[in-house]
Amino acid sequence: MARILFDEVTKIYGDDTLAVDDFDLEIEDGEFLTLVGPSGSGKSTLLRMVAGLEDITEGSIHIGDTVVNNLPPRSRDIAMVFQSYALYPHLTVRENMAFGLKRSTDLSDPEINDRVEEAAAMMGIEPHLDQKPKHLSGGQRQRVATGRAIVRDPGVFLFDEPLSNLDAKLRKHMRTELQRIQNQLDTTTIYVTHDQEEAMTMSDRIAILNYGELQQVGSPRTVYNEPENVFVAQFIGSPSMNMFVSTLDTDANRFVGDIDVSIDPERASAIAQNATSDELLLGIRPEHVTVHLEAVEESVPASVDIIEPLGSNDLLYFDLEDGTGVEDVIADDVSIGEDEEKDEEEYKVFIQPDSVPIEYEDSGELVYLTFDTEHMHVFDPRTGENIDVETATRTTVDAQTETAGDDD
Amino acid sequence: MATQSRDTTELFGVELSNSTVDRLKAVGFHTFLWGSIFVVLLPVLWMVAVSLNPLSFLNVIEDPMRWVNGVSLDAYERAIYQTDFLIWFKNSAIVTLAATALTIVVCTFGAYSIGRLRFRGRKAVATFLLMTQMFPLILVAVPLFLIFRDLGLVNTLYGLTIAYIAFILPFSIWMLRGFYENLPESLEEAAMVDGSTRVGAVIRVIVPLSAPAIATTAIFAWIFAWNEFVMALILISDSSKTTLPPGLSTWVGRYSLQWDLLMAGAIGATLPLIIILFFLQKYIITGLAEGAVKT
Amino acid sequence: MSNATPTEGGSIIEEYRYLLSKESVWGWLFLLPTLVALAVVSVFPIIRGILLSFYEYNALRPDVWLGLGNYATIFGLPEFWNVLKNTFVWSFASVVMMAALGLGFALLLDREFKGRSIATTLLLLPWTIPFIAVALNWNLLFDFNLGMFNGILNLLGFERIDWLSRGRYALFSVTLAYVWRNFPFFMITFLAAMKGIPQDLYEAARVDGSTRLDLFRHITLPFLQPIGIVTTLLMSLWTLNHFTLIYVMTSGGPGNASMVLPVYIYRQAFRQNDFGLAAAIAVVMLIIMMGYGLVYLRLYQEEVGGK
Repeated sequence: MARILFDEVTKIYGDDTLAVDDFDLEIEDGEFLTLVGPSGSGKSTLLRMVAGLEDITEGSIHIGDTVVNNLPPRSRDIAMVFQSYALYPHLTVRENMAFGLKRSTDLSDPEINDRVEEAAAMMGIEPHLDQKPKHLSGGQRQRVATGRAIVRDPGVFLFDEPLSNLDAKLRKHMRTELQRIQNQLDTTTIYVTHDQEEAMTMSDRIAILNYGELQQVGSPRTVYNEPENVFVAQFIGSPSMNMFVSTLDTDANRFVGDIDVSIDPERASAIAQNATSDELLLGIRPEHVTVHLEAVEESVPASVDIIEPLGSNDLLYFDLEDGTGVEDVIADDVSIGEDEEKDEEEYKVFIQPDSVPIEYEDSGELVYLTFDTEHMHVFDPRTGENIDVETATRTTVDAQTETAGDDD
Repeated sequence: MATQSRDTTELFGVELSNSTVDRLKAVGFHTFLWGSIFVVLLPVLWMVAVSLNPLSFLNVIEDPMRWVNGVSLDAYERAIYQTDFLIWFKNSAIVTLAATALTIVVCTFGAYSIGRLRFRGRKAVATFLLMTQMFPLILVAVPLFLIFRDLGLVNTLYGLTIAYIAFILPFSIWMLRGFYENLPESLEEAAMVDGSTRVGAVIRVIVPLSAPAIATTAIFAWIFAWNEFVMALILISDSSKTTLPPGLSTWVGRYSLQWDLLMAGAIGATLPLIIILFFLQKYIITGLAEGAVKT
Repeated sequence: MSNATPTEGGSIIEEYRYLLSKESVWGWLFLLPTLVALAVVSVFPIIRGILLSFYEYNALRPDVWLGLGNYATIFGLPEFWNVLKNTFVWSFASVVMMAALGLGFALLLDREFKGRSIATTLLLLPWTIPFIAVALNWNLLFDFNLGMFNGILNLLGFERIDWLSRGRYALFSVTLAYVWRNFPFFMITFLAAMKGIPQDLYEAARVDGSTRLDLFRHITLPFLQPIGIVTTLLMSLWTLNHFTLIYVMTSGGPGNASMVLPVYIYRQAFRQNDFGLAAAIAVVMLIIMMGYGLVYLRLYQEEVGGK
């Protein structure tokens, strides 16, 4: 069992590629921490530095009370599950699982065998113990890889995108299973994934990375409800948060622009104080927008693009009459977590199935939207920071003193 | 064929069903292929024929029974009992086995280093290995003779073995490297996280996985060493110390009219390689596909 | 962050172990035996050889410095230019014929049919015959009285040919034997490359209406190109180096009609005992081979953009 501490860790590849920049984080004993971010964000590099598979350029990593910078992987009391599983193809499942125990412990063969069988039982792979990996399905291989890690009973588990090679259904199943095992063993775990949903469902805390910099750390609920910047807001949550460009009119306590909404004076003045630009980004999640078929007070007209049935509810894509592109206002060095498809901005809202007639699709027929301002985030396009005291993270002093209401 | 195809094709002005055309094509293909193979193998067949009964080509064509009636293993007996053939064969076997085995050990690690590890200078070494292929063997052999003479290594199988290893190494490393590059890196990382040292990871994980590629490399090493002529000619002077190629070459003048003996010697020198070919053929092709000729 | 003072990074032994986990340390450690072997048996002799080329070598007395004397001598020898010409003709003709035959047979074998494996093995067979055996075997085939070639010529009503001891034919005859022995190497490398061509490419092209020739030109050939280029380079270098067949079958004769550089150098060193002159010729050969290899690689990199 071990606590892990990253102390100003920096990784530079070659001469100039900065992969991780001055990273600080403490992971509690027994905690399940997920490193999440797009590819190239440095999350895998961090994990590999903990494993000892990459040199640490600057700073130090502590496991327990030991600085492990200069320890080879085998002396770090860790076990790792690789994305490719890295099962030894020439060894049976049993030999694969026993491999580490033989190298790192003095256990006798029967003892090793007992532990292997115990771990195999936990992972439900006893029938396959004497098979070679090539005869196993993807899910079984994943279980063997995980079993090979837990059999070692290490101080730290490292998972490097362990589920990304599985199909969607199996991935969801394994997610719960890994969580169950981690709860049962209570071993400190670092889990790397690019899948924010995986991060949300499994972790005690999530650390969101982008371009080698830590964006935010917190519980799944915190990072979802109180994103500290545009990147976190866009990256966490699927479908991603809608971003509107509007200007704050402090006299009228209203936002005017892509969407017009009014907010209470206290909040408006606080935002105005923090803002460095006139045009601001308003972030509202699809579940915090309401669709009306008739115009209502404070509503914004929009045309319906597509309605996607998702089952329990539908996802409606809409366009505004004349929307300003987020790209036009945001500073070049501020990263917004773009959608994978990277097509033009899409606005989305959850609706009840059939609450908007299907004929509205692409017809120019207007719907009217209202926005739940309590769950609205306001970002400064120059810095990307969340400047809205209402929903900004409570760890900042301002937010704590001026918070008007709780979100969750 | 039970199902009659209704499609037809015109071939040389004759209407033929497609299945007939396919069959004709197959017959043509097989005739051509096996005919070519026969022509390619004719020298080998002739070598065997003459070793059993040394008649001229015309004699055999005119009266094959004369050849059949005169078949004997006499030439093989003479090669074994009246010449140094067995000694040369033994010397060749010793040098080839030793050079192959040592090359494999050395090149397994060398190729791992160039194919898998990231370090400064790796590219330079890889280029250097390629450059050694551009050295004229004879430019090395002549001074090597002088150097080995000073070291007392001339006329010994040790000296010859050392020379062979150095010559086989660059190409062997080049071949194996291509294969190693294709193995997933996470395998030895997993082994190291699981408590192995770097050497342990190579021996326990990389070597077992690359057994086919190592077999291919060994075959090439074996073929090189078994074939090598100049080095042996230059570095060895005693008939009792020499290997098959220079040894057999002395027969050309000495037994110039005993074609059966010459062919028996040639076949004897060929046998070990033919055996390897038949057992390990698949390694030659797959090994080449996966490593050797990658750039 | 936490201010707890951690115990500093393990013992000296751990530090030492860590050093051993560095890839650069392992990289050089693993290469050490190779580099030592090559230094002793390749680099050192070559340096010695280059030095030797500036001296008149003498086994009993100290060597005499000649400067570029040996080079002046060889460039003045008409037979040297002849040998050089032979070497080029021999190498170029061999490689072209081997590549053509190898490609032809690889195409024949690159399909599904009964007996494919045995056909491949049989065609590979010449390549497993040691050169010394090839030399003896083809000496017989080319024999004036008993040989197969003259036998066939006779049957067809032609004059017998003195294959190996007539100036016009000697080099050609040896080339033929060499091509026969070595074309399978091209064949298997091409076959190996063909195995790597994704079948769906052919299928896609056929759906798009390509003819057999189109498939060959636009799919097979481009895929064979990288391997073909590397194999051709290696084979040219090996052919330039080749010694056995010419030494055993013709000794470079008659006269110097089939003499190539390696045999010529050997003779200068061990028959004429002129190590200095032999070394000088070998250095010229080194320059030719390096020049050829490097230009070839450069062209290759421009062509394919290889590493």
